Amino acid sequence: MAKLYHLRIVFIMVISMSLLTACNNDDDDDEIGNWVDRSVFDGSPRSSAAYFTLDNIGYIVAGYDGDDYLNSVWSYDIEGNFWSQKADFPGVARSSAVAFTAANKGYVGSGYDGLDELADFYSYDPTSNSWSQIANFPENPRRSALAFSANDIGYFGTGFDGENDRKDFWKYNPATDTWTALVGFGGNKRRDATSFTVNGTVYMGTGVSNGVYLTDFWSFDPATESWTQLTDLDEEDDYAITRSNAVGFGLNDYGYIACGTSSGSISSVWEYHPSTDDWEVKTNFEGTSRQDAVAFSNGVRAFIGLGRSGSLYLDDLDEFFAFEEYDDED
Amino acid sequence: MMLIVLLTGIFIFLIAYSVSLWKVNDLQTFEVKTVQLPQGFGYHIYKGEALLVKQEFIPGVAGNIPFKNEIEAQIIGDLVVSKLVEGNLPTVNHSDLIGLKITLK
Repeated sequence: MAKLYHLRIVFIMVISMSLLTACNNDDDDDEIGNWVDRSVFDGSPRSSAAYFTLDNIGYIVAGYDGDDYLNSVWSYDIEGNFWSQKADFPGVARSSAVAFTAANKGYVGSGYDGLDELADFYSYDPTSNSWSQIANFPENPRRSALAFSANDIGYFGTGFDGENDRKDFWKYNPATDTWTALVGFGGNKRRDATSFTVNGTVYMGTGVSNGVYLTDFWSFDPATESWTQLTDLDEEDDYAITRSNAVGFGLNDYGYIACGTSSGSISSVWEYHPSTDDWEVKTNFEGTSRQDAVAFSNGVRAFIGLGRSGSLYLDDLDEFFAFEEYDDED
Repeated sequence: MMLIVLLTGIFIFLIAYSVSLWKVNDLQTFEVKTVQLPQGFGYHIYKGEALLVKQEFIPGVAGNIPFKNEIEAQIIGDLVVSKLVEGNLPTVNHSDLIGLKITLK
Protein backbone atom coordinates (compact mmCIF):
# COMPACT_ATOMS: atom_id res chain seq x y z
CA MET A 1 0.00 0.00 0.00
CA ALA A 2 2.86 2.36 0.85
CA LYS A 3 4.07 2.08 -2.71
CA LEU A 4 0.63 3.11 -3.94
CA TYR A 5 0.65 6.20 -1.71
CA HIS A 6 3.96 7.34 -3.13
CA LEU A 7 2.94 6.68 -6.71
CA ARG A 8 -0.21 8.70 -6.16
CA ILE A 9 1.71 11.57 -4.58
CA VAL A 10 4.17 11.71 -7.47
CA PHE A 11 1.35 11.43 -9.97
CA ILE A 12 -0.69 14.20 -8.35
CA MET A 13 2.36 16.46 -8.08
CA VAL A 14 3.00 16.03 -11.78
CA ILE A 15 -0.66 16.80 -12.51
CA SER A 16 -0.52 19.90 -10.28
CA MET A 17 2.56 21.11 -12.15
CA SER A 18 0.89 20.63 -15.51
CA LEU A 19 -2.27 22.37 -14.29
CA LEU A 20 -0.17 25.35 -13.21
CA THR A 21 1.40 25.40 -16.65
CA ALA A 22 -1.93 24.92 -18.39
CA CYS A 23 -3.35 28.00 -16.64
CA ASN A 24 -0.96 30.14 -18.64
CA ASN A 25 -2.35 28.83 -21.92
CA ASP A 26 -5.53 30.52 -23.00
CA ASP A 27 -5.14 29.82 -26.68
CA ASP A 28 -6.55 26.28 -26.68
CA ASP A 29 -10.21 27.37 -26.76
CA ASP A 30 -10.90 25.97 -30.20
CA GLU A 31 -9.77 22.39 -29.58
CA ILE A 32 -12.48 20.12 -30.90
CA GLY A 33 -13.09 16.74 -29.34
CA ASN A 34 -13.74 16.12 -25.67
CA TRP A 35 -12.84 13.29 -23.31
CA VAL A 36 -14.95 12.24 -20.34
CA ASP A 37 -13.78 9.84 -17.61
CA ARG A 38 -15.83 6.67 -17.52
CA SER A 39 -15.82 3.73 -15.15
CA VAL A 40 -12.70 3.95 -13.02
CA PHE A 41 -11.64 0.39 -12.59
CA ASP A 42 -8.77 0.89 -10.17
CA GLY A 43 -6.30 -1.91 -10.04
CA SER A 44 -7.02 -3.69 -13.29
CA PRO A 45 -4.23 -2.37 -15.47
CA ARG A 46 -3.43 -4.29 -18.60
CA SER A 47 -1.74 -3.64 -21.90
CA SER A 48 -1.69 -5.29 -25.31
CA ALA A 49 -5.11 -6.87 -24.70
CA ALA A 50 -7.25 -8.01 -27.60
CA TYR A 51 -10.50 -6.04 -27.83
CA PHE A 52 -13.72 -6.11 -29.79
CA THR A 53 -17.22 -4.63 -29.58
CA LEU A 54 -20.49 -6.50 -30.13
CA ASP A 55 -23.61 -4.32 -30.00
CA ASN A 56 -23.18 -2.15 -26.91
CA ILE A 57 -20.67 -4.35 -25.13
CA GLY A 58 -16.90 -3.94 -25.38
CA TYR A 59 -14.72 -6.94 -24.56
CA ILE A 60 -11.09 -7.07 -23.42
CA VAL A 61 -9.36 -10.42 -23.70
CA ALA A 62 -5.99 -11.53 -22.31
CA GLY A 63 -3.10 -9.01 -22.27
CA TYR A 64 -0.15 -8.33 -19.99
CA ASP A 65 -0.14 -6.46 -16.66
CA GLY A 66 3.61 -5.94 -16.29
CA ASP A 67 4.13 -9.18 -14.37
CA ASP A 68 1.88 -11.80 -15.89
CA TYR A 69 0.30 -12.79 -19.17
CA LEU A 70 -3.46 -12.86 -18.65
CA ASN A 71 -6.31 -15.03 -19.88
CA SER A 72 -9.18 -13.30 -18.12
CA VAL A 73 -11.95 -11.59 -20.06
CA TRP A 74 -13.90 -8.53 -19.00
CA SER A 75 -16.80 -6.85 -20.73
CA TYR A 76 -17.75 -3.18 -20.53
CA ASP A 77 -21.39 -2.17 -20.93
CA ILE A 78 -21.43 1.07 -22.94
CA GLU A 79 -24.97 2.02 -21.85
CA GLY A 80 -24.65 1.03 -18.21
CA ASN A 81 -21.00 2.05 -17.63
CA PHE A 82 -20.18 -1.12 -15.68
CA TRP A 83 -17.93 -4.18 -16.08
CA SER A 84 -18.51 -7.96 -15.84
CA GLN A 85 -15.97 -10.79 -15.78
CA LYS A 86 -16.75 -13.30 -18.53
CA ALA A 87 -15.62 -16.87 -19.25
CA ASP A 88 -11.81 -17.15 -19.25
CA PHE A 89 -10.05 -17.24 -22.62
CA PRO A 90 -9.30 -20.96 -23.10
CA GLY A 91 -5.96 -20.59 -24.91
CA VAL A 92 -2.61 -19.99 -23.20
CA ALA A 93 -2.44 -16.57 -21.51
CA ARG A 94 -1.00 -14.07 -24.00
CA SER A 95 -0.48 -10.50 -25.12
CA SER A 96 -0.49 -8.87 -28.55
CA ALA A 97 -3.29 -11.08 -29.85
CA VAL A 98 -5.83 -9.79 -32.38
CA ALA A 99 -9.61 -9.77 -32.39
CA PHE A 100 -12.31 -9.45 -35.01
CA THR A 101 -16.07 -9.99 -35.03
CA ALA A 102 -18.34 -11.92 -37.37
CA ALA A 103 -21.99 -12.94 -37.11
CA ASN A 104 -22.38 -11.75 -33.51
CA LYS A 105 -19.31 -13.59 -32.25
CA GLY A 106 -15.89 -12.34 -31.26
CA TYR A 107 -12.73 -14.05 -32.54
CA VAL A 108 -9.40 -13.86 -30.74
CA GLY A 109 -6.10 -15.47 -31.64
CA SER A 110 -2.40 -15.25 -32.45
CA GLY A 111 -0.21 -13.31 -29.98
CA TYR A 112 2.71 -13.97 -27.68
CA ASP A 113 2.88 -16.00 -24.45
CA GLY A 114 6.28 -14.74 -23.29
CA LEU A 115 8.19 -17.43 -25.18
CA ASP A 116 6.55 -18.08 -28.51
CA GLU A 117 4.43 -16.49 -31.17
CA LEU A 118 1.04 -18.21 -31.44
CA ALA A 119 -1.30 -19.41 -34.22
CA ASP A 120 -4.35 -20.66 -32.30
CA PHE A 121 -7.71 -18.88 -32.59
CA TYR A 122 -10.97 -19.07 -30.62
CA SER A 123 -14.49 -17.76 -31.04
CA TYR A 124 -16.56 -16.25 -28.22
CA ASP A 125 -20.33 -16.53 -28.18
CA PRO A 126 -21.73 -13.77 -25.92
CA THR A 127 -25.12 -15.49 -25.67
CA SER A 128 -23.72 -18.65 -24.09
CA ASN A 129 -20.69 -16.90 -22.55
CA SER A 130 -18.42 -19.60 -23.93
CA TRP A 131 -15.36 -20.04 -26.13
CA SER A 132 -14.71 -22.62 -28.89
CA GLN A 133 -11.42 -23.30 -30.63
CA ILE A 134 -11.48 -22.73 -34.39
CA ALA A 135 -8.97 -23.69 -37.11
CA ASN A 136 -5.41 -22.59 -36.36
CA PHE A 137 -3.96 -19.87 -38.54
CA PRO A 138 -2.06 -22.00 -41.12
CA GLU A 139 0.96 -19.74 -41.77
CA ASN A 140 3.72 -18.55 -39.41
CA PRO A 141 2.47 -18.01 -35.87
CA ARG A 142 2.76 -14.33 -35.04
CA ARG A 143 2.07 -11.46 -32.68
CA SER A 144 1.32 -7.77 -33.10
CA ALA A 145 -0.66 -8.57 -36.22
CA LEU A 146 -3.75 -6.77 -37.50
CA ALA A 147 -7.31 -8.03 -37.82
CA PHE A 148 -10.58 -6.51 -38.97
CA SER A 149 -13.90 -7.78 -40.18
CA ALA A 150 -16.42 -7.04 -42.89
CA ASN A 151 -19.57 -8.87 -44.00
CA ASP A 152 -19.10 -11.59 -41.37
CA ILE A 153 -15.62 -12.48 -42.66
CA GLY A 154 -12.47 -11.98 -40.60
CA TYR A 155 -9.28 -10.59 -42.14
CA PHE A 156 -5.87 -11.08 -40.55
CA GLY A 157 -2.40 -10.05 -41.62
CA THR A 158 0.97 -8.40 -41.05
CA GLY A 159 2.62 -8.86 -37.62
CA PHE A 160 5.89 -10.28 -36.33
CA ASP A 161 6.60 -14.02 -36.57
CA GLY A 162 9.55 -14.07 -34.15
CA GLU A 163 12.12 -13.45 -36.88
CA ASN A 164 10.53 -11.20 -39.46
CA ASP A 165 7.78 -8.69 -39.89
CA ARG A 166 5.10 -9.85 -42.31
CA LYS A 167 2.95 -8.31 -45.02
CA ASP A 168 0.65 -11.19 -45.96
CA PHE A 169 -3.12 -10.98 -45.45
CA TRP A 170 -5.56 -13.83 -44.93
CA LYS A 171 -9.30 -14.23 -44.62
CA TYR A 172 -11.17 -16.44 -42.20
CA ASN A 173 -14.63 -17.68 -43.11
CA PRO A 174 -16.58 -18.73 -39.97
CA ALA A 175 -19.15 -20.60 -42.08
CA THR A 176 -16.53 -23.06 -43.32
CA ASP A 177 -13.92 -22.62 -40.54
CA THR A 178 -11.20 -22.09 -43.14
CA TRP A 179 -8.32 -19.67 -43.71
CA THR A 180 -7.47 -18.52 -47.26
CA ALA A 181 -4.55 -16.36 -48.39
CA LEU A 182 -5.44 -12.99 -49.94
CA VAL A 183 -3.33 -11.43 -52.62
CA GLY A 184 -2.91 -7.83 -53.66
CA PHE A 185 -1.69 -5.89 -50.62
CA GLY A 186 1.06 -3.69 -52.02
CA GLY A 187 2.22 -2.18 -48.74
CA ASN A 188 5.30 -2.99 -46.71
CA LYS A 189 5.72 -5.60 -44.01
CA ARG A 190 4.98 -4.27 -40.55
CA ARG A 191 3.87 -4.96 -37.01
CA ASP A 192 1.55 -3.10 -34.60
CA ALA A 193 -0.48 -1.45 -37.37
CA THR A 194 -4.03 -0.11 -36.92
CA SER A 195 -7.27 -0.18 -38.85
CA PHE A 196 -10.74 1.31 -38.62
CA THR A 197 -13.97 0.89 -40.57
CA VAL A 198 -16.18 3.71 -41.87
CA ASN A 199 -19.40 3.01 -43.79
CA GLY A 200 -18.27 -0.49 -44.73
CA THR A 201 -14.80 0.44 -46.00
CA VAL A 202 -11.75 -0.60 -43.98
CA TYR A 203 -8.79 1.78 -43.64
CA MET A 204 -5.35 0.51 -42.62
CA GLY A 205 -2.05 2.14 -41.81
CA THR A 206 0.64 2.98 -39.27
CA GLY A 207 2.86 0.32 -37.72
CA VAL A 208 6.60 -0.15 -37.60
CA SER A 209 9.24 -2.38 -39.16
CA ASN A 210 12.95 -2.42 -38.32
CA GLY A 211 12.51 0.79 -36.34
CA VAL A 212 10.95 2.67 -39.26
CA TYR A 213 7.41 4.01 -38.80
CA LEU A 214 5.42 3.37 -41.94
CA THR A 215 3.75 6.24 -43.77
CA ASP A 216 1.59 4.41 -46.30
CA PHE A 217 -2.19 4.38 -45.85
CA TRP A 218 -4.67 2.03 -47.55
CA SER A 219 -8.35 1.33 -47.96
CA PHE A 220 -9.75 -2.18 -48.33
CA ASP A 221 -13.01 -2.74 -50.19
CA PRO A 222 -14.62 -5.89 -48.73
CA ALA A 223 -16.87 -6.34 -51.78
CA THR A 224 -13.90 -6.86 -54.11
CA GLU A 225 -11.32 -7.67 -51.43
CA SER A 226 -9.01 -5.18 -53.09
CA TRP A 227 -6.62 -2.60 -51.64
CA THR A 228 -6.25 1.01 -52.76
CA GLN A 229 -3.36 3.21 -51.67
CA LEU A 230 -4.41 6.59 -50.29
CA THR A 231 -2.54 9.77 -49.35
CA ASP A 232 0.53 9.11 -47.20
CA LEU A 233 0.32 9.81 -43.49
CA ASP A 234 3.17 12.33 -43.75
CA GLU A 235 1.84 14.14 -46.84
CA GLU A 236 1.29 17.48 -45.09
CA ASP A 237 4.00 19.16 -43.03
CA ASP A 238 1.77 19.40 -39.97
CA TYR A 239 0.67 15.75 -40.04
CA ALA A 240 1.99 13.78 -37.07
CA ILE A 241 0.05 10.58 -37.64
CA THR A 242 2.80 7.99 -38.12
CA ARG A 243 3.15 5.75 -35.08
CA SER A 244 2.73 2.15 -33.98
CA ASN A 245 0.74 0.35 -31.25
CA ALA A 246 -2.09 2.85 -31.72
CA VAL A 247 -5.84 2.23 -31.58
CA GLY A 248 -8.17 2.88 -34.49
CA PHE A 249 -11.94 3.17 -34.53
CA GLY A 250 -14.75 4.41 -36.70
CA LEU A 251 -17.28 6.85 -35.27
CA ASN A 252 -20.19 8.04 -37.40
CA ASP A 253 -18.70 9.09 -40.77
CA TYR A 254 -15.07 9.47 -39.70
CA GLY A 255 -12.16 7.29 -38.67
CA TYR A 256 -9.76 7.94 -35.81
CA ILE A 257 -6.22 6.92 -34.97
CA ALA A 258 -5.32 7.62 -31.37
CA CYS A 259 -2.44 7.17 -28.92
CA GLY A 260 0.37 4.72 -29.69
CA THR A 261 4.11 5.17 -29.71
CA SER A 262 6.73 6.82 -31.87
CA SER A 263 9.88 6.69 -29.76
CA GLY A 264 7.69 7.57 -26.73
CA SER A 265 4.02 7.26 -25.81
CA ILE A 266 1.61 9.46 -27.77
CA SER A 267 -1.70 11.03 -26.77
CA SER A 268 -2.59 12.73 -30.05
CA VAL A 269 -5.76 11.84 -31.96
CA TRP A 270 -6.21 12.27 -35.72
CA GLU A 271 -9.52 12.25 -37.58
CA TYR A 272 -9.69 10.84 -41.11
CA HIS A 273 -12.20 12.21 -43.62
CA PRO A 274 -12.92 9.49 -46.21
CA SER A 275 -14.63 11.86 -48.66
CA THR A 276 -11.59 14.14 -48.98
CA ASP A 277 -8.80 11.69 -48.00
CA ASP A 278 -7.32 14.08 -45.45
CA TRP A 279 -6.72 14.30 -41.72
CA GLU A 280 -7.45 16.75 -38.93
CA VAL A 281 -5.97 16.76 -35.45
CA LYS A 282 -8.38 16.51 -32.52
CA THR A 283 -8.05 17.19 -28.81
CA ASN A 284 -5.35 14.97 -27.34
CA PHE A 285 -6.48 11.95 -25.35
CA GLU A 286 -7.04 13.38 -21.87
CA GLY A 287 -5.55 10.53 -19.85
CA THR A 288 -1.88 9.61 -19.68
CA SER A 289 -0.35 9.21 -23.14
CA ARG A 290 -0.23 5.51 -23.88
CA GLN A 291 0.39 2.65 -26.26
CA ASP A 292 -1.23 -0.79 -26.62
CA ALA A 293 -4.55 0.57 -25.34
CA VAL A 294 -8.01 -0.81 -26.11
CA ALA A 295 -10.79 0.97 -27.98
CA PHE A 296 -14.50 0.18 -28.02
CA SER A 297 -16.85 1.67 -30.58
CA ASN A 298 -20.42 0.79 -31.45
CA GLY A 299 -20.20 3.21 -34.37
CA VAL A 300 -21.76 6.14 -32.52
CA ARG A 301 -19.90 6.12 -29.18
CA ALA A 302 -16.20 5.43 -28.67
CA PHE A 303 -14.02 4.72 -25.65
CA ILE A 304 -10.27 4.39 -25.13
CA GLY A 305 -8.59 2.92 -22.07
CA LEU A 306 -6.03 0.64 -20.47
CA GLY A 307 -2.64 0.27 -22.19
CA ARG A 308 0.71 1.40 -20.84
CA SER A 309 3.01 4.38 -20.73
CA GLY A 310 6.55 3.05 -20.55
CA SER A 311 6.44 0.53 -17.70
CA LEU A 312 3.36 2.10 -16.07
CA TYR A 313 0.32 -0.06 -16.76
CA LEU A 314 -2.98 1.83 -16.95
CA ASP A 315 -6.53 1.05 -15.84
CA ASP A 316 -8.69 4.03 -16.86
CA LEU A 317 -11.30 4.41 -19.60
CA ASP A 318 -12.43 7.62 -21.30
CA GLU A 319 -15.26 8.34 -23.71
CA PHE A 320 -14.46 10.43 -26.79
CA PHE A 321 -16.87 13.10 -28.02
CA ALA A 322 -15.46 14.01 -31.40
CA PHE A 323 -17.32 17.28 -31.99
CA GLU A 324 -17.59 18.82 -28.56
CA GLU A 325 -15.27 21.52 -27.37
CA TYR A 326 -12.64 20.37 -24.95
CA ASP A 327 -13.56 20.69 -21.28
CA ASP A 328 -10.91 19.63 -18.77
CA GLU A 329 -13.41 19.50 -15.88
CA ASP A 330 -15.23 16.31 -16.88
CA MET B 1 12.43 34.17 -4.32
CA MET B 2 13.86 30.86 -3.13
CA LEU B 3 11.55 31.03 -0.14
CA ILE B 4 8.49 31.46 -2.37
CA VAL B 5 9.52 28.49 -4.51
CA LEU B 6 10.13 26.41 -1.39
CA LEU B 7 6.79 27.39 0.17
CA THR B 8 4.94 26.68 -3.08
CA GLY B 9 6.64 23.29 -3.21
CA ILE B 10 5.59 22.46 0.35
CA PHE B 11 2.07 23.71 -0.35
CA ILE B 12 1.72 21.51 -3.45
CA PHE B 13 3.13 18.56 -1.55
CA LEU B 14 0.64 18.99 1.30
CA ILE B 15 -2.28 19.26 -1.10
CA ALA B 16 -1.05 16.24 -3.05
CA TYR B 17 -0.61 14.28 0.15
CA SER B 18 -4.08 15.05 1.47
CA VAL B 19 -5.63 14.30 -1.92
CA SER B 20 -3.74 10.99 -1.99
CA LEU B 21 -5.08 10.10 1.46
CA TRP B 22 -8.56 10.99 0.27
CA LYS B 23 -8.08 8.84 -2.83
CA VAL B 24 -7.01 5.83 -0.79
CA ASN B 25 -9.96 6.23 1.57
CA ASP B 26 -12.16 6.54 -1.47
CA LEU B 27 -10.97 3.10 -2.54
CA GLN B 28 -12.59 1.64 0.54
CA THR B 29 -16.12 2.76 -0.30
CA PHE B 30 -16.80 -0.34 -2.37
CA GLU B 31 -19.97 -2.19 -1.49
CA VAL B 32 -21.16 -5.65 -2.49
CA LYS B 33 -24.88 -6.23 -3.01
CA THR B 34 -26.00 -9.75 -3.78
CA VAL B 35 -28.86 -10.08 -6.24
CA GLN B 36 -31.37 -12.89 -6.66
CA LEU B 37 -31.71 -14.15 -10.22
CA PRO B 38 -34.18 -16.61 -11.76
CA GLN B 39 -31.66 -19.46 -11.53
CA GLY B 40 -29.53 -18.46 -8.53
CA PHE B 41 -27.56 -15.47 -7.27
CA GLY B 42 -25.11 -12.85 -8.47
CA TYR B 43 -23.51 -9.73 -7.06
CA HIS B 44 -23.19 -6.08 -7.92
CA ILE B 45 -20.25 -4.02 -6.73
CA TYR B 46 -20.79 -0.33 -6.19
CA LYS B 47 -18.16 2.33 -5.78
CA GLY B 48 -20.08 4.97 -3.87
CA GLU B 49 -23.28 5.37 -5.88
CA ALA B 50 -21.88 4.01 -9.13
CA LEU B 51 -22.34 0.45 -10.30
CA LEU B 52 -18.84 -0.78 -11.15
CA VAL B 53 -19.19 -4.54 -11.60
CA LYS B 54 -22.37 -6.39 -12.47
CA GLN B 55 -21.75 -10.12 -12.07
CA GLU B 56 -24.82 -12.25 -12.70
CA PHE B 57 -22.90 -15.48 -13.35
CA ILE B 58 -19.75 -17.02 -11.88
CA PRO B 59 -16.74 -15.01 -13.14
CA GLY B 60 -14.28 -16.80 -15.41
CA VAL B 61 -16.49 -19.88 -15.86
CA ALA B 62 -17.94 -20.79 -19.26
CA GLY B 63 -21.71 -20.68 -19.54
CA ASN B 64 -24.04 -18.27 -17.83
CA ILE B 65 -23.97 -20.12 -14.51
CA PRO B 66 -25.15 -18.10 -11.50
CA PHE B 67 -24.04 -18.75 -7.93
CA LYS B 68 -25.93 -21.58 -6.25
CA ASN B 69 -26.73 -19.52 -3.16
CA GLU B 70 -26.41 -16.03 -1.75
CA ILE B 71 -23.52 -16.92 0.56
CA GLU B 72 -21.29 -18.04 -2.32
CA ALA B 73 -22.14 -14.87 -4.28
CA GLN B 74 -21.27 -12.77 -1.21
CA ILE B 75 -17.95 -14.63 -0.69
CA ILE B 76 -16.77 -13.96 -4.25
CA GLY B 77 -18.13 -10.38 -4.22
CA ASP B 78 -16.15 -9.74 -1.01
CA LEU B 79 -13.06 -11.31 -2.62
CA VAL B 80 -13.34 -8.93 -5.60
CA VAL B 81 -13.67 -5.92 -3.27
CA SER B 82 -10.66 -7.04 -1.23
CA LYS B 83 -8.65 -7.24 -4.46
CA LEU B 84 -9.86 -3.78 -5.51
CA VAL B 85 -8.99 -2.28 -2.12
CA GLU B 86 -5.50 -3.78 -2.23
CA GLY B 87 -5.02 -2.33 -5.70
CA ASN B 88 -4.76 -5.78 -7.27
CA LEU B 89 -6.41 -7.12 -10.38
CA PRO B 90 -10.08 -7.67 -9.45
CA THR B 91 -10.11 -10.77 -11.63
CA VAL B 92 -11.41 -13.95 -9.97
CA ASN B 93 -9.15 -16.89 -10.85
CA HIS B 94 -10.23 -20.48 -11.16
CA SER B 95 -8.05 -21.31 -8.13
CA ASP B 96 -10.02 -18.72 -6.09
CA LEU B 97 -13.28 -20.51 -6.94
CA ILE B 98 -11.84 -23.93 -6.07
CA GLY B 99 -10.18 -22.66 -2.88
CA LEU B 100 -13.42 -21.07 -1.66
CA LYS B 101 -15.38 -24.21 -2.58
CA ILE B 102 -17.76 -22.41 -4.93
CA THR B 103 -20.33 -24.70 -6.55
CA LEU B 104 -19.52 -24.59 -10.25
CA LYS B 105 -22.56 -26.33 -11.71
